[in-house]
Amino acid sequence: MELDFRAPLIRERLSSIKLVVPVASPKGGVGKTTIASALSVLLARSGVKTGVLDLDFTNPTTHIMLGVDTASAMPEEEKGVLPVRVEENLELMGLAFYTRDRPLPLRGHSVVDALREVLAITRWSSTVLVVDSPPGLSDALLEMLRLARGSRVLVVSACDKLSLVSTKRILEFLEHEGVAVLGVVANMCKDCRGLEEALGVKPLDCVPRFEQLREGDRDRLAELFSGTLAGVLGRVREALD
Amino acid sequence: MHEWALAEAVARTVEELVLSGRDVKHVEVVLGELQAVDEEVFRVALEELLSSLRAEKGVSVGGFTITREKALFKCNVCGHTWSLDEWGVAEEFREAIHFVPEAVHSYYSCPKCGSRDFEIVKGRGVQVRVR
Repeated sequence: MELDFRAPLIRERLSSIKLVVPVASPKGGVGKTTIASALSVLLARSGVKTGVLDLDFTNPTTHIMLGVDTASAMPEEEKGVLPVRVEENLELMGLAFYTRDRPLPLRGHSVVDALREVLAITRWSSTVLVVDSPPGLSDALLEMLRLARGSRVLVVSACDKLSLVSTKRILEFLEHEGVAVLGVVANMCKDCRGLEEALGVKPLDCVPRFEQLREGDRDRLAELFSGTLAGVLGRVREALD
Repeated sequence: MHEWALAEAVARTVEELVLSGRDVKHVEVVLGELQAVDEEVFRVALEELLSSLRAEKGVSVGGFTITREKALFKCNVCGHTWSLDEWGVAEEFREAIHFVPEAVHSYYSCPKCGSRDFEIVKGRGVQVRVR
């Protein structure tokens, strides 16, 4: 009998985390990484111990948004590995630390293997884990939802027709699978009424396009999003109570 | 140490099996060549963890052995198969591959056609077999 020995350890590693929030979208380019990064910085600065997992293994960019240099930072080895400390209450883990920003072409089963390995070795000290997911119903997202039962998915959508059609699909899938949805964020939208009409869901927040956003500037990120992610932050706090 | 995390994972697996009523006579741990696990450090960690399991939870197994498995790769583009010797993994990349074997795709490619679209057929990381 051959076993995947990582499963029990993954359960234990995740057991100390009260809430896992995969930030997902059905298509690329809608700003998942920005929303995931902003949410994690705001949570951390409000005193919530927050971890960020960059689940986009083949194209990781969360470290860039959070201003972490993978050339100098590396998860410390300590009976497993400790995520990289970004600032007080904020820690980050992802494959970018191991690939040093080189391309990483992975097929489905290798993505699943890499995810299991990362979750088995990482010793989080966080209460909330924000997961920046690759676009769509990817292997990585599906496996994450399987391993972290009780996750509450935050869906990010733009307001154009293609995004709305795609967002409807992912919401239908999550409902069908019995996966809880934290809510929908309308990103880079001027008017969110179309989203509400198309999906029948009132977005938690309606975030405009910020032209002055600079990758790596966490202070600016917190400043721009502190007033626009209030609905999401409120929902996270409700879930933690 | 990473070896400790791997040993912990194996011990947890054994614990769950025994507590669920399975009689585990023997545990075989296969160490894949690619992940370059330090066998001695791993063995000491696993002995210690299994000993704690016995003392604290009354969970015991007949014994365990450690075997090694050579790494084997296959190119998805040209079909070439090769062993780790053909690469000679550089020291600077060893740590990354030690923690996440899939990182090898970022540093190496097929020795024949140069593609990074290849598979790790054997010897990826740690495997556990019980009987």
